[in-house]
Amino acid sequence: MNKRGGLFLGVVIAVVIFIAGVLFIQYMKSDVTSARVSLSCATPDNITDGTKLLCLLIGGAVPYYIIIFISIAMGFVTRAIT
Amino acid sequence: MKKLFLILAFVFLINFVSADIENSHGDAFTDSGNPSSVDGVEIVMNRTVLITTIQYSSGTVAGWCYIYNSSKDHVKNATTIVDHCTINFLAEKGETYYIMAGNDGAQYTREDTTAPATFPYLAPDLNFTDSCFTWGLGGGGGCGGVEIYNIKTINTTDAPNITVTLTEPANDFSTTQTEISFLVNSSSSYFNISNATFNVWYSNGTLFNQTINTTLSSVNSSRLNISDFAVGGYIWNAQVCGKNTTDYLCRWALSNNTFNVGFNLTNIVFNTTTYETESETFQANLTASSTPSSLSFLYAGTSYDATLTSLGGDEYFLTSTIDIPSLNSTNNWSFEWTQGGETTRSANRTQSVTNITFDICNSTLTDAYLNFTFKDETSLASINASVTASTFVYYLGSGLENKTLSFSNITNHSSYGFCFRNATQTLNVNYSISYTLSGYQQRTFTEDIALTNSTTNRTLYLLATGDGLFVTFQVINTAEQTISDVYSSVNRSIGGTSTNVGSGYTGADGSITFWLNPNFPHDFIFRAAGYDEYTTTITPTQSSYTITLGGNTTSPIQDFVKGITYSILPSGNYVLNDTTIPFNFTISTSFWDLDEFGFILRNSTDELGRVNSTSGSGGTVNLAVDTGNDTTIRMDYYWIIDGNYSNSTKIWYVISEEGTGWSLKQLFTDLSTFMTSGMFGLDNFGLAVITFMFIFIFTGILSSKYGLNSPSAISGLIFSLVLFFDVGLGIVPNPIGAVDNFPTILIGIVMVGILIKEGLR
Repeated sequence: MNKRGGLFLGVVIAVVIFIAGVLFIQYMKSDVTSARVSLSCATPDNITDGTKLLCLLIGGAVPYYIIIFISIAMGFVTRAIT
Repeated sequence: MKKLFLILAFVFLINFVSADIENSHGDAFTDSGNPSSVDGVEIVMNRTVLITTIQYSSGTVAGWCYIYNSSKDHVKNATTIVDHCTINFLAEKGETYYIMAGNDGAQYTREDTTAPATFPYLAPDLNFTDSCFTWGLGGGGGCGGVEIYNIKTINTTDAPNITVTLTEPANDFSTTQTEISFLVNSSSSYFNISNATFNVWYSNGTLFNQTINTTLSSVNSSRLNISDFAVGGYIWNAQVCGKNTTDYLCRWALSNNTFNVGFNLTNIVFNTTTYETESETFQANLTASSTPSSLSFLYAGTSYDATLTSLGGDEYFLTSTIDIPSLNSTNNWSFEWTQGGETTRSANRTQSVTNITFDICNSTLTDAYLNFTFKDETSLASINASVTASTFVYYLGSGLENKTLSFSNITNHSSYGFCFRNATQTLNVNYSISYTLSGYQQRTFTEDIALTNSTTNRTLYLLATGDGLFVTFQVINTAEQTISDVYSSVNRSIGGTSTNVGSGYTGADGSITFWLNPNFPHDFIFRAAGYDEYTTTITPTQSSYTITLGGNTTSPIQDFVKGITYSILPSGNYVLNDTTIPFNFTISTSFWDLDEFGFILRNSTDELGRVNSTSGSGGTVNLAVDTGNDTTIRMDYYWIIDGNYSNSTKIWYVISEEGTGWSLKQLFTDLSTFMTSGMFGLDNFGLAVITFMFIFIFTGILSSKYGLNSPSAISGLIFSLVLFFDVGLGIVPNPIGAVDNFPTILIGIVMVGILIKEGLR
C-alpha cells in the first residue's frame, strides 16, 4: 500500500471511529440528564460543594466523550500522514 | 275711548296672567308658553319630580288628562273629576312634556280624516299648531268642537328615588386576584328593583366591562363576578333600575368606587389644599405583586418625574415634588408605573388649588407686601414719580411655576404699594421697576426678594437731569468677550447709608448704563454665574468703563468613580430566551454620597423597564424581565452624584438553549451558576487565579512541547485563551467596569504591538 492509500485508509478508519462514537452519544444523554436531575444540579443553593463538582464532571461528560473520539480519529489521520 | 282702552288692557293682562301655569312645588318646571295654556301646556322640567295632580278650570263633564313627551308620544293619562285629575307621572329633569285636559274624546271630530276620532290622539296626530284644531276654553271650539280645559296648576312632589350603595369591593380595595365579586345594594319605597348594570373602567376612564345583571342575589341586592382583571387601577359604579306598574327609574350610586389589582397604595401623603406655584410633595407606599418600574407622576394631565425606591421585598416608596401649575381650582393626581409589562396607574385623587394674586393694592387687595416711595437723591426730599414699566415674577415654590405681573402708571404718585392675597407663606418676587419724574432721568431698580406680610419698604432715588451723567459699563471676561446677563448694582452713600441707585442686568452686548452723580464715589457689584464677583468703587467721571470678570470659570475635574464599586447580574454575556431573568445592579460608595442610581433595560428597539433608588450609600436595584424573543438585552446603568450623571452599558446576547443541555456551554453555565452560589469558598478572585494558571500552564506546555518560541505565536495563543475565557465564557473578572471585555482588549493591544514589532524587525 502506497502512502496515498495509507492516508485514505487512515481517514476512512477515523471517520468510522468518529461515527461509531457519535452514535453512542444518544445513549449517554438520557443518563446525563437523569444524573443531573438526581443530583439537583439545577438548584445549586440546595446542594453541597462536592455535589456541585460532580455536576460539573457529569455536565461535561458528553463533550469529553466527543473530544476523546475526535482525538482518536485525528490520531489515525496523523499516523497515516506521518 | 280711554275707558275702552283700559278695559282691553285689563283683559289682555288677565289673559297674560292666566297663561302662566302654577306649580305647587316650587320651580320644578318651566312653562314654555308654547302653546298657550288654552290649548294645553308645554313644560320643561327643571328637576325630576312626580306630577301628582293636574288642576284645570272646571269642565262641563268628566274627561281625561294626557301627558305627551317631547316626541309627542302619549306617555300617561288619567281620568278626571270636575276640576282635576290624579295622574302620578314621574317627570324627568330636562325633558319636555305636553299636558292637556279635556272632556271625553268620544265627541271629538276632526276635519283631518287621518287623525283618530277619539282620544287619546297619538303622535304625530297631536299637532298643537294645526290651525283647524283650535281648542277652546271650557267649550267646544275649532273644527271639531273639542272641549279642552284651561290648566291652572300642576302639582308635583319630590320624585321617588332609588338609593344605590356600592358595597363590595370597598373603596380603595386592593387584591392580587384576577376575579372580583361586586355587590350593590339599593332601596326604594316606590319602585321594585329589577336589574343592575355594573360598569368597570380603567383608571384612565376607558370602559373595561359593562354587564347588566337581571338576577337579584337577594331583595334589593345584586351580585356579579367579573374576571380577567389585569394589573392596574380601576373605577366602578352600578346603575340600578326599578319599576312599578306605571313607572321606571334608573339611578347610579352618587360616587364611584376605586380598587386596585396587583398592587396596593398605602400611606398616601399630600396636602388636599394648596396654592398656585407652591411646591408640593406627593408620597405613597406601594406594595406590588411584581417589580414596578418607569414611575411617573401625573398631575392635571401632565407627567412629572417621580422617584421609586425599593424598601425591600415587594414594598416600594413613591415620591414626587412639583410646583403647582396655574390651571384648575381642582386637579387630579396619580402615580403611573410599569408593572408586569403593563402600564399601571393609581386611582385619581384630587387637590384643591387656590389662586394667588400679587398686584397693586386696591380696595379689595389690602395686604401690602412691598411698598415703593421716591426721593430726590440730592436734596433727599420726598417726590412723586411714575412707573414707566415694571415686571414682577412671583411664586411660592421653587420658581418652576410662576406668575407675572406687568405694571405701569404714568401718573405721578408718592408711593406704590403692591399687595398679595390668598396665601400667608413667604412670596418670592423677582422684579424690575423703571421709574421717572419730569426733570429727572429714568432709573431702573432690580431685585430678587422673599416677601412676607410684614411690608418691605423700598425707597427709590431719582437724580435731576442737571445733576448727573450717563455712565455705561461693559462687562467682559479675560478673553475680552462680552458677558450678558451680568447682575450689576450700584450703591451710593446717602445720609450715611449705603443706598442703591440703580441695578439691572447687562444686555447682549455686555453693557449696562446708569444715571449717576459724578460728584460722589459709588460702589459697584458685578456678578455672573461662573465668574468671580467683581466689586469696585468709582467716582464716575467718565461716560464708560470696562469691567473684566475673571476667576475660575471652570470647576476642577472631579472623579465621580472614586470610591465607587458595583456589580451586575447576571454575570456573563449571554441569557436564555423566553426566560424571566432577574437583572440587578449593586453599587456601593466609600467616598461620595449618591443622589440616585439605577438602570434602564432595553432590547434592540424598546425600553423594557427601569428602576432606581435614592439611597445615598448605594444598594441593589432589581428588575425581572422576560427575555422573550429579543436578540439582545442592554442595561444602561447609572449613578448621579451632586447632579453629575455617570453611566455605562452592559449587553447580554439572548440565545436559545435548545440542544445545548449536554454541551460545553452547560458545563460553563453550571460553573458560573455554582460560582455565584458559592463552591468550596471559591470567589471571583480565586477563579481568576485558576484561569490565569490555566492559561500560563497551557501556554507553557505548548511552548515546551512544540517549540513555540516566537513572541508573536505565544501572544496569539494567550490572546485566544483570554478571548475564550473572557468573551466566550465570561469568567474573567473585569477590573475596568466602564469598558466591557477589557482583559481581551488589553491582551489584543499587546499582541498587535508584538506583531508590529516583529514585522518591523
